[in-house]
Amino acid sequence: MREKVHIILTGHILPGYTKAEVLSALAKLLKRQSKDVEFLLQGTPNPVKRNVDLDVAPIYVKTLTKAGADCNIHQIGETDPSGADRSSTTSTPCPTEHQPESNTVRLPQGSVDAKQNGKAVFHGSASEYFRIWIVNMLLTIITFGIYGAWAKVRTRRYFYSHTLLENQPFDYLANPVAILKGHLIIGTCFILYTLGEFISPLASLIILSISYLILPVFIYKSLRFFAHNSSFRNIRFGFSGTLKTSYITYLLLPLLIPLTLGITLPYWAFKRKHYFFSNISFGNSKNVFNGKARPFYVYYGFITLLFIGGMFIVASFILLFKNFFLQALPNPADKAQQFSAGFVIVLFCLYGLLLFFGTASQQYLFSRTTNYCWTQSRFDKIYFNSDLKARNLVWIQPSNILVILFSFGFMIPWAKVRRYRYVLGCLTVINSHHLSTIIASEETEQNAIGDAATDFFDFEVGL
Amino acid sequence: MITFSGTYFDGKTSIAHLVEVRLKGTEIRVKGYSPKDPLIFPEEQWQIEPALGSQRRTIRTEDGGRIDTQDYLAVEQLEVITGQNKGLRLVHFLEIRWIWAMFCIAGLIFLTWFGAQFGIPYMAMKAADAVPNSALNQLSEKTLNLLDDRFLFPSKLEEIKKKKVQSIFNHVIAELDPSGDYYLVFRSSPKIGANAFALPSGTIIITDELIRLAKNDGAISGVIAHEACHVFQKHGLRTVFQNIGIFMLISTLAGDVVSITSVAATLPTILIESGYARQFEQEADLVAGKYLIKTGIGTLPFQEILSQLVKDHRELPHFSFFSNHPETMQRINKLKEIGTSDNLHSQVK
Repeated sequence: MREKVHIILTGHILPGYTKAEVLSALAKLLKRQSKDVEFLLQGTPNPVKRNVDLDVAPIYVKTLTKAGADCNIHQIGETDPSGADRSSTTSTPCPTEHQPESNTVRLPQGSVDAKQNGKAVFHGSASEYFRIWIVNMLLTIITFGIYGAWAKVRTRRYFYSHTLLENQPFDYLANPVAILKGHLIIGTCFILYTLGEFISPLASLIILSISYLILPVFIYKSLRFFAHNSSFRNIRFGFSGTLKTSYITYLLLPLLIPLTLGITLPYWAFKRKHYFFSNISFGNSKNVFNGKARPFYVYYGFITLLFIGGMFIVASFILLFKNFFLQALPNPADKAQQFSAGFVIVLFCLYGLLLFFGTASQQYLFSRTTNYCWTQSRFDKIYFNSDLKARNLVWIQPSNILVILFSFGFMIPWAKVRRYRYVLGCLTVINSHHLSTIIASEETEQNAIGDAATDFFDFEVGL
Repeated sequence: MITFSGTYFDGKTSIAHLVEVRLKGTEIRVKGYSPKDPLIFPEEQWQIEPALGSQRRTIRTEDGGRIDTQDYLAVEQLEVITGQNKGLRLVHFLEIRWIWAMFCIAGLIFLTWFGAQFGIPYMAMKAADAVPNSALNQLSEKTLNLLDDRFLFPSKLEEIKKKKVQSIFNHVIAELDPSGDYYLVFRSSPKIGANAFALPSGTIIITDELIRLAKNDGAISGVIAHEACHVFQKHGLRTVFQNIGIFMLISTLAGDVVSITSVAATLPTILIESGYARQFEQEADLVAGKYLIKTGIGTLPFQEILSQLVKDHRELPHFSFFSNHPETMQRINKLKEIGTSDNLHSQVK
């Protein structure tokens, strides 16, 4: 990880400059009125730019020095100069993000720097979520699954509302009754399928193909539901994908995969991401998604090569210990047909290895495609950087599974928070101060009525 | 009068407005949004979001606005005054206290155990009873056709032998379930080997291999009694319904993170399902054992054929490694127990 620093204005003017000059230069740099930046030159230190990479910090220093303002680089971890000010001196106006009460946001919004990168921060804790989770579980079991819809909304709301970006929480607005309907439909499908399997193979085949045919509708509906019920600063997200594209993406393309011997698999993965990212909007600004399919071929190709290599190693290992395996195989003459314990252990190890490889490649693909899709996204002036490291996820996910196994599932909340924290921490919102200038979509009012249909389904799609 | 400060979002722009909120009667007044007049919302036009964790409290207004505040106390007072969120306030009360979380853990463990042990089997039994006989017959016919296509061949048994087995069969049925509708089917199956199956309609299939393996009639009566028990106890249907129930229970419990725990969640499912299967086998053995003792044959012939079956079986090797082998030993021991206890009982008599 690169070292981050803050850029601090000392509040003094460099020799050879007049106060008016410096003020107007600063105001220009920070895109503010002169009177709004006056407090920066009153002799007390103030941060103007936070969490800058150490190697780009000199550029800021140079620019500010040129403007005539004295400044220095502040190592993160030292005592916060503006924080110290608040306690010692009397009436120093400090940047708004240092307000003690986070809800007393004062205009102008955000801090005083011109270009700002925001990080979403998760303020929840595993122990708090654990209690919500355990109450959810108990109530769900007691109510035979009906409370499950409320539990889902509470879980989502917990994660959303404890995720702060620019000091404001996200919000999840779904109506639990709508989710209950979705659950009932999925449950009915499942029971029909199981009973069909029991009655005749043909019946279950018919039920399966019907579900497959309506799956794109489910996905389309649920994406709309998901987006429409997510909000930030009381502005809803939206999803403008069409049902037709959903059918192409989730019905036609998967059918092509076996026909092309898997060559279109990466393309399918790309199209799924494309369906989400190119249709998501925040208020009136729609995401401009520039992603291409080519990187997906690189990522999936890498995994394929890794898999072939892995198979090679395992195969040569088996050949090397050929005798051991031959001896361990059951003797056809022996009716009891028992494998030796050693052989079973080796089988278990191979199975574990396969599981690990599967999880690891899943995490690799997740990190790469997520990073790529975010960097190719832009909402108006807001764009993103995602810095997920495959190796970190490959450590987090399998260790999460082990912890969950050995805690009999009771560490699920901890595992979930741990992973969420990491994934969220890797996302940077560039120009995040523009978030406060978004206007609700014109259609929102209309959607509020028209989207009663959206309220029909919530169907989890792994995105 | 309740007053608190908060942040107001009008839902049209993403700008945060610092406001002061005041409760007057049951209407709230929001000061600081528009320069002149405060916004006024009568009681039916605003709603408090239920509390959750340590998040800020939120009040939504009907026109799409939203007020966020960290004045938890004030909002709680508002909730009490207006009587909103009664149910979820209780949920929140449970959620924020560790002591209640502990009770929930205990409750969850108990309910899961109780559900798997009694609840699901009970409901499965009710569901199995509700299935009409016509459906059972149709189903069994299809299953038999399927088995005939894949595993079973016409029996090569001599007619005399068949007749003898048939008469044993009639005896057993007359004793165990005289009102039931049972039907004996002979098949040979080199693939499956010595075995017997019961279909839910009452059709019992016995392979030639099993009849040849049996050293005496007692063994055959034992096997038939065992299979007949599967029929009149509706074990087949109950297994299906129980497995659906268990699947639903486990996926409800693990549902939060199916992606992470799908591997972990299958393990308990398999364990519980094989537990159910074992229970049914034990129940059928018990019925068979009791029948054999009652008719004076004793459980020994049945014990013998069980141990022979283990030796004869050409099942998948991993199967025998995990469950079947030790299980059969247990079953035989159980039969021995029934035998001895009953012998003692009759001696005392």
